[in-house]
Amino acid sequence: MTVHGPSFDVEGPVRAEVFVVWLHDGRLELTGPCGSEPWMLEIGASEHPVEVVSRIVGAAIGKPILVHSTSWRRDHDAVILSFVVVIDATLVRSMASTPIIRVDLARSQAATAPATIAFAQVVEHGLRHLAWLIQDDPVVAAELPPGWASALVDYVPEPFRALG
Amino acid sequence: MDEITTRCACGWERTGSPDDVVAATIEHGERVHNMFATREQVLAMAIPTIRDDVPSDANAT
Repeated sequence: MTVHGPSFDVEGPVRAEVFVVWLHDGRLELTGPCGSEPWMLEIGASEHPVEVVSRIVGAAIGKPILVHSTSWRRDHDAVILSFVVVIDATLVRSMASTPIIRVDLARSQAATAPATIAFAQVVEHGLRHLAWLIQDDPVVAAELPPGWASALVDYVPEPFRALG
Repeated sequence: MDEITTRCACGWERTGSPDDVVAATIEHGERVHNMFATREQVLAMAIPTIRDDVPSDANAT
């Protein structure tokens, strides 16, 4: 079968970009209903982003262990809120999953955003943010299952920040 | 009945009758992307499906 033409995409002035992460034999992997591709959600004008992400993840995958916004950036006509969502291994089932590779961060200048931001750099920062939370936030430290602390030990802890 | 196809940027796609594709696309958008589309919006983004396994001269005698 051949399909010609455009695809439809998530729109709206505020969108959530969800990175579903799980621990596979001590190694962090990326999964989700879109596989390892960015999973975009539309955020309605009257909706709270965290509520939307929690609800959609719960409906499409199952109850998450942790939902946390880790950065934001401007992308053309929208503001993109990035979320790291931690799920239990039992929820991965048939979803495609890819090991997460380490990359250098996209660094801002003093008063300007990075010129380009790659998807993997957003994931990298999200996991550095999680590495910070597991040390700083007792709720996160308590919720993340055994093995996460050692999986995050090589990530330099960083708080929430603007990527663009 | 002619088949149509819709494709989401996330990689999901559905081919079938217009009724099936519209229903599946609306369900996918709402369940996976928190998007709410009408039948007309889905049909506007749908494209005719071209079957590679059907020779272009299949109707020739």
